[in-house]
Amino acid sequence: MRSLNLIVLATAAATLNVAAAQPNQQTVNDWRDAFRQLEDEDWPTPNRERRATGAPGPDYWQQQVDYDIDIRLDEEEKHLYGVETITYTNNAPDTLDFLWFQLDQNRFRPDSIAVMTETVGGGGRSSSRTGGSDPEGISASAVRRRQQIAENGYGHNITGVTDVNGEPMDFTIVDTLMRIDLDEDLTTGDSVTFTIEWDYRLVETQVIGGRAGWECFEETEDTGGDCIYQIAQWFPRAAAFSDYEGWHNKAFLGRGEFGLEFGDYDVSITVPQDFIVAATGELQNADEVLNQVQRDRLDEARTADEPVFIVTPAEARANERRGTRSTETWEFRAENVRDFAWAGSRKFIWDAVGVEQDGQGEAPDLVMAMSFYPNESEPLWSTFSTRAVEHTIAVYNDFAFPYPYPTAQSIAGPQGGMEYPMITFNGGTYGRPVADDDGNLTYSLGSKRGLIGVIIHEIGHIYFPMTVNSDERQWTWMDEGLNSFLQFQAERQWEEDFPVRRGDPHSITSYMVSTNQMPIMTQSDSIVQFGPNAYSKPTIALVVLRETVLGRELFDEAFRTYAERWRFRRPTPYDFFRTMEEVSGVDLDWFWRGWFYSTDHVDISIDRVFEGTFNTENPEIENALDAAEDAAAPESLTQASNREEGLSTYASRNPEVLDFYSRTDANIVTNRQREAYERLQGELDEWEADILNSDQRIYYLDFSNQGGVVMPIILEFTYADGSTEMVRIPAEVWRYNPDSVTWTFMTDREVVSVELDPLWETADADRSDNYFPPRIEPTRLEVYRSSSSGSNLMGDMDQRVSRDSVRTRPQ
Amino acid sequence: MRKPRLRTWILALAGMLFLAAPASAHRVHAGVTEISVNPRTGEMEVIHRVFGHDLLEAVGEETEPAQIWLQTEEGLATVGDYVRERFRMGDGAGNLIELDYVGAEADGEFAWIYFSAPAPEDQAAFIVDNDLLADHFDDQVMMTNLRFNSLVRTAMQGPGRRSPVRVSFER
Repeated sequence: MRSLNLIVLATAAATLNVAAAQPNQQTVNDWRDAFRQLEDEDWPTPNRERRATGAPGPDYWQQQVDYDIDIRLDEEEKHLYGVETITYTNNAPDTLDFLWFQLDQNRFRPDSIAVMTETVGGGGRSSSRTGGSDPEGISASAVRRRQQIAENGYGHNITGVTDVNGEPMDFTIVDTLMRIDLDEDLTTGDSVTFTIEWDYRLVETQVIGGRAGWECFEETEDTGGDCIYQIAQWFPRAAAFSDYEGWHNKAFLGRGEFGLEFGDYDVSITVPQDFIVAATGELQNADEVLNQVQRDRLDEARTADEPVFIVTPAEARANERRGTRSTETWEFRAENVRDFAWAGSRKFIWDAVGVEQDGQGEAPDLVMAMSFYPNESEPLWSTFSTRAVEHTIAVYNDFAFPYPYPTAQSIAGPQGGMEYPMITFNGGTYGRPVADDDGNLTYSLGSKRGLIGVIIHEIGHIYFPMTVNSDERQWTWMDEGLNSFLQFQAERQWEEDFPVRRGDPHSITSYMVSTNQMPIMTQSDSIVQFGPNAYSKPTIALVVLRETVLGRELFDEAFRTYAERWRFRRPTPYDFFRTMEEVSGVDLDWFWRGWFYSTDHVDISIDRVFEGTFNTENPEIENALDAAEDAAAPESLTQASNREEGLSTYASRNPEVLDFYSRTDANIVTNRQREAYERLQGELDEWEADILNSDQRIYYLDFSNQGGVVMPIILEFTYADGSTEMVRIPAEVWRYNPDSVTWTFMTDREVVSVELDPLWETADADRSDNYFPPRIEPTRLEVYRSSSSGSNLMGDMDQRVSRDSVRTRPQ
Repeated sequence: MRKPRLRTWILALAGMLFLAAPASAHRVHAGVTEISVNPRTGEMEVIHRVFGHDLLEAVGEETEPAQIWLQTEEGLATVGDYVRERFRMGDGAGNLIELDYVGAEADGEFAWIYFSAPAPEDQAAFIVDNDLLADHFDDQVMMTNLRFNSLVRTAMQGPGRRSPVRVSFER
């Protein structure tokens, strides 16, 4: 009788790199509950403000803070002077007797926490400017920065805080925060109005850093002089006060960004008369600050198919060389925004186009996409900037909700890559034009792609977190991770071969196996390796969630619901996690645990494969199979060697001992076997008989989880006839044992090979254990070396590629 | 015979230009270097991965995209020299390990640069100094994963943490 046929794969060498995952690690045994629910234990208890469904509750509240600001730029001094009247509405069920305001410019004071705590080993944006790690040396630019900070008197200079009657109010400054003591307690539903007067010195971005400032150009033959001013974090603004944290009054250290409140802004910006100003909000006094030609062009742009110049490159160039003593005031109004930024320059070219969308009654049906940039950024910016804005709106609208504001702007200037409601700063030294052989200015392909990418990313931020107002400081990944994920989608949709690989799950494996990680759910200010943690890993987690775990339909529906629920509100990670689960109907706690809460990686191995076929019990079949098996087995070595030596057997010398058994094939079918089979057939039910007589094979596959993160097991079976079949096993297969599992597969075809994760979807860090029979995959370096396009620097090649042609030619 | 040490400090004097990190689509200046022994070939492979446009910017190539430039002899040679100077590794005692340049290629927005060396006899400890792109982007973070003895050890070098890192593979 035959029993199970064994096809055994040598067990892959175990890598002993299973990082400690801590979903409820036991002390006396090693049971690890990878599917344990996060609700009730790790997540905050749902309440009437934030529900267990992930939606805002009936008692959800947030504050509203409205600003009426007059600001004046003294160009000569690079100094700003401002007065703001603030109306603070308290919707919290708390009574407030003081308010906290943010004075972000104070992080440049020499005695600020940010400056004083710049360490050699810290990971902040500016920590490199404290000098090299070797204490014997310091770079010249770091010295210059320190000097300027020490001497220039940066920071908000508060010259007055007065109540509605003009009476002074008490205030206390604590590093980058100011506490204003209210004359009367502010109860729920009440508002208070007061005025702050201040001034501050603008930071030179390229020396000091920061997210705003000025950049002046040298006047040369090709470029005009003059400066671009980008103004952000410029006014004392209310710190966030939330249901889950109270006052968000951690000092601003320079990295984790901002928590802010929504409100309406009326801002009057006084600048030299020949400036062009771009700002959050809609221009209210175009008839005063724009001439008829510009106003006509703006009207034309609203319904145009392509961007229209409001200020042409030639006009901007001519404008540069003017100078003026007089000033002009630009008035802007913005509703329901959490911040306000602006930029001004004589150098600005300005183009615009109206983008139509279905506002669904809650957003405008027409959005003005506009760009402001100097001639130095041409021709790249006029070709792509406004169009990239347009494209971003189309893609993000699809994933989230209609763009919620009347305008979306992209500004070139010293600040690269920063976002504010309705306005983004996207660099500008970027994309310097290059002269081609004919002396024409052109731009490089790399610059084009880079500009498109940064604009998509920054405009995308207007959705997350400017509108879906997550806490950038505490959970950086909620805006950077989500936004990078959508940016990746928008880039892929820009043009066919837009080269993006960083969204491929495999690109994160190096990071995930590294030994310096912190989980994604880590407070922002302390994240040591900012980049991959806040930007890449959450992004890839979302790609995996969308393409592999949930599928696009479920993911897109859940993601859109999250965005719509929390539009103009303040979500926490738990609201996101809960919404994704509730809408998709899929339990995802194992996924959040593995990807967001742990530093484990994905590495599943296929260790052994057994093939089993049914024993039919039919002697005609089984005996023949046994005979075949015997015949297939090699002859006994002893017997073969004996024969070679010329030894003869006793029976061959004495044939009279040969009997029936000696002459009969042991596998011959006997009557008794036939009778036994017929009896068995009589006893079997029809369905049992069918199974025994079927051609079904059963495969037993052993998997082990080397990396710690449980993931779906995706298999591709290749059959003897050459056909293939993909099978996707949900991650729940690991629920009894997150470290190893045996799974069975039934088919009537013969399997010749199995591959784990054939489409490279799961970020499996080690593919060498993904094959049965084991296949040795060459490394990237080996592939490169053996590929024909690899250039051999030892000069073996007899073909050369020249710079101006990608076709090879014989040397 | 004096073995070359890994790092000598250079005092930067006045005139060193501080470069504001230009805007880039990913906003993150980060790269990865993987070092392991290929069991088949017996070679130690050093594979760098950085963003192609960052690399080209750092070496001053402004016209061609990485996809094309890294197929040219000039491009490959420039990148090889650049990386050779900025990535160094040594054994536990600090003796420099000579690496041979194999080549480079672009894949999507990544640039891959390949070096190799015979598998080291002593794999107990290494010192790495990964300064790729750090001269051009002061916020560049380079993560070096070394895999020996069935273990992974990571050296992370970034702003404020540029000195060579020692990793140990003893269990």
